[in-house]
Amino acid sequence: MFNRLNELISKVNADYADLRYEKKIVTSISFRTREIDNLSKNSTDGFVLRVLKNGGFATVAFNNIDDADFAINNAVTNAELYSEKTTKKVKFAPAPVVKDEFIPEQIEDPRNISFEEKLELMKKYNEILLKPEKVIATDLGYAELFRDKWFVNTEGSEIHEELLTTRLGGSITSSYGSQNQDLRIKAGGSNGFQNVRNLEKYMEGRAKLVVELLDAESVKGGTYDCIIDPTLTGVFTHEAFGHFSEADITENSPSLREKMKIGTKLGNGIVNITDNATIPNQLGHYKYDDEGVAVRKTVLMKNGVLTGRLHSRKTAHEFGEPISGHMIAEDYRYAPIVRMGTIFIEPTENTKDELFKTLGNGLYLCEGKGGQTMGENFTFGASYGYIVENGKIKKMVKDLNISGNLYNTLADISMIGSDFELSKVGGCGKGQTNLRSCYGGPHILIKNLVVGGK
Amino acid sequence: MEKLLNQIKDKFEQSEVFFSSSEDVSVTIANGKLDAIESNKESGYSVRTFHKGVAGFAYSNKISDTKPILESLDISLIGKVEGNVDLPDPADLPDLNTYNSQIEKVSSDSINDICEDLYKFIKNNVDAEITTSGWKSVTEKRLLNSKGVDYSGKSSSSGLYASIDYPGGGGSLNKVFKSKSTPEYCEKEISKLINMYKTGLNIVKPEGGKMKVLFMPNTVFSLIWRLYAAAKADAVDQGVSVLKEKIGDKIFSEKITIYNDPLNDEFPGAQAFDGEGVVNKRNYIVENGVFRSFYGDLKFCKKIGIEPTGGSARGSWRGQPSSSMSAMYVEPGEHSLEELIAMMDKGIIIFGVLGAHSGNIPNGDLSIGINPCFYVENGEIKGRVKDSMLAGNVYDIMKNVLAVGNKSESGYMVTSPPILLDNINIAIKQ
Repeated sequence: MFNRLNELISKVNADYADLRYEKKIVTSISFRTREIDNLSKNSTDGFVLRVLKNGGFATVAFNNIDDADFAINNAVTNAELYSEKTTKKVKFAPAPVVKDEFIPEQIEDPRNISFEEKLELMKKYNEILLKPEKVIATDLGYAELFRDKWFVNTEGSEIHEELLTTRLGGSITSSYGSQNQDLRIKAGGSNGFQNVRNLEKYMEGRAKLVVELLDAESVKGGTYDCIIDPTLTGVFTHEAFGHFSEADITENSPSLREKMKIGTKLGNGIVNITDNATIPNQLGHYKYDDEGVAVRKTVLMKNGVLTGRLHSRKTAHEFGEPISGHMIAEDYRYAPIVRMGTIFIEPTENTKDELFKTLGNGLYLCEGKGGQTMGENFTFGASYGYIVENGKIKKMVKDLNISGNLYNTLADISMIGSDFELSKVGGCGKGQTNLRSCYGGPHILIKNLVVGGK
Repeated sequence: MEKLLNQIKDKFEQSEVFFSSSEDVSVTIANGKLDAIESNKESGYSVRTFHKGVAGFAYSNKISDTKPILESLDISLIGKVEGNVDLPDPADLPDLNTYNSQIEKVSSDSINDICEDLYKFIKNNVDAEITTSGWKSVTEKRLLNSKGVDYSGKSSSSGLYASIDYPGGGGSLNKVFKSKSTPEYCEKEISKLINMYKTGLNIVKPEGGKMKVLFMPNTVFSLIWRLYAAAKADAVDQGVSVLKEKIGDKIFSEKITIYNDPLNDEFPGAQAFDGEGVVNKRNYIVENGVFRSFYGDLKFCKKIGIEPTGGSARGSWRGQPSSSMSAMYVEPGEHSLEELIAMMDKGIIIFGVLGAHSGNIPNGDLSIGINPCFYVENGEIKGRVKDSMLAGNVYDIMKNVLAVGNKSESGYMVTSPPILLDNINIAIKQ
């Protein structure tokens, strides 16, 4: 494969070029209440070519080898146009030449499990979810995504990396009278099929919870002090802070670059935030990014002060900061962009009980239900929560969406717990979907969160 | 395609082959600097089969070799996926104007030039951080089935986008111009955006509570999303639709009419046939506030006992068709934007929403961050409001429509005019 790719890239008349060939195999099984809705296994492939010439940069994605000459001409012509028109030439920060293969270990390789066995397991889970009378519908899907990536560049790098993601997701809906209530299902990982086995208790818990939520009251909209659980800490860290750590977000905004300057104090002094996709056996694990740079642990915030940033080779040069290996593409359809790998708030020594005691009165919010960022503003949903009075968990509440401002909220984190959990299912949608986007942390206490009720 | 259809059509009661190809170019100028030129060219095809109530599905980008797709098709049949579907017979297609050969000739160079023009026009009128981008897209598709359908279509579109950012990540005001010809923008519309931006440099902090809210066209999707989920035949079949017994009931204000119309070739994206070969038509979902119809693909229309509605989406050759309203419109009313604002004694104008995908969508609930948004008092915009949220249930708040704007804009999910609502709950951090 490397010979074939090197032969193609040798035709590119430029200062630098890289070419990624990727084969993607997607296996899907899904249930829609009691019916099998989909069962398929399909294989596709394609290429992404990136060209740097005279400080001009262009990319092209194509999925038919017969279009290779067209793609090369297109990318070179566009890079020349870029060079001619731009007021600022693109340069790449230097990166080591790498010749390597990375095939992460699968504890139980899903490719060795038969379709029939996977189908039976999903069927069993689906039946558990549908057991309570008030559960009226499920959408339960198993997906297995295999990315077989081959990367070469004109500097001499040759990297073969395989990424295999298993994912069990969907939703369950309960109903009573005119009211419907949904709840998400999330399981999976990057190191094998065992991540989706033995989930019977989890499924029972989901079915019980979605029925309980029918009776929960909607929270009254307003400003609350809140403890958020590790899944929400993850979503919060990703949405409220992480995106501003991606250098391509801040690169072209002088005012943002000023606000996010390394050394700026943004958070309370107790806040430490790290991105570390090098940790094995977690969802976000990879070795090389999609421009051939080894991912490295990046400390983004230390004691509330900005210390690092996530980079491409282009942005690392632009900022004069170290490369970090965070250029990720969804698949062969896309050129990579800067993405978080595995981002989390570092735990401290406080127990959960101490957090609740300090909170006194407020809300305990549980389970991330999606989030979004727009500039300094962010929002994220919680699947359910509880009223907390005098440090004690009281009645369940629902319809919880939280909105905030990055700069204020990081300063409002007043206490951080000692537990730690990372997400098992990703799905960040910054232009492309990153199914291995991983996030987490401990329970944390945040003051003055705006919570929208029903 | 014919070869593949011939290979499978004798083995199954019904079969279908779908092909699509696309070629896109986009150019982005960020803060006055050319930032990206990206191109994409791809093609592939998929097959669906139906036999004794069981469906098969597979896709591939290997056009010349049918072996991989036939192997995938065999795998898909293991699960006995329910597929009680009647593929359509051939019919006459309406003649739509969806393709303009001039768009094929649009170069990266010319897209860059118009993006630069747009950037300079804004920059000359306001000192702000500005992003402009432009694109063109040409797609072709063909659908064959074992009943003799052989439809093909070619479409083209282009577009321009402008975003004016508040400093330090304070959100942005943006405008999209979609076109059926070469990319172009309207100076008058951009000037309005610039004036609004300037007004928003003043930050105000009003009290929250119940007030009037004006949803600008690009934010109406956050309301419509709930209707979209509940009016889907799939949701009715699954028993999760709150509209399942509501045909003929008044669910929104009489000022609201919503329909799907893929045949409207005034805007880019019109299609004579849907992803399953059903001839498209206009389908009223809500007419003068009354719920008129569900929508669905062939499978779910049949399951809930309604005639095929058309409009099934097929994102690309990788995807199966699914119930969709890909050309949804809210019918315009009579009021200009200025008149709508004048009707607001106290309220919020919403230019952007966050988190519309969360909340209890099946129930019609929404709880969203609103940014950027502007505070209005006695018909006058006072300034921009930060850290605020809107909460409610779409079937309650869409009964409180005061007025609908007279000018539609094409946005995410729906083409809509601005909609003014009364008595909406807004939380603002103090």
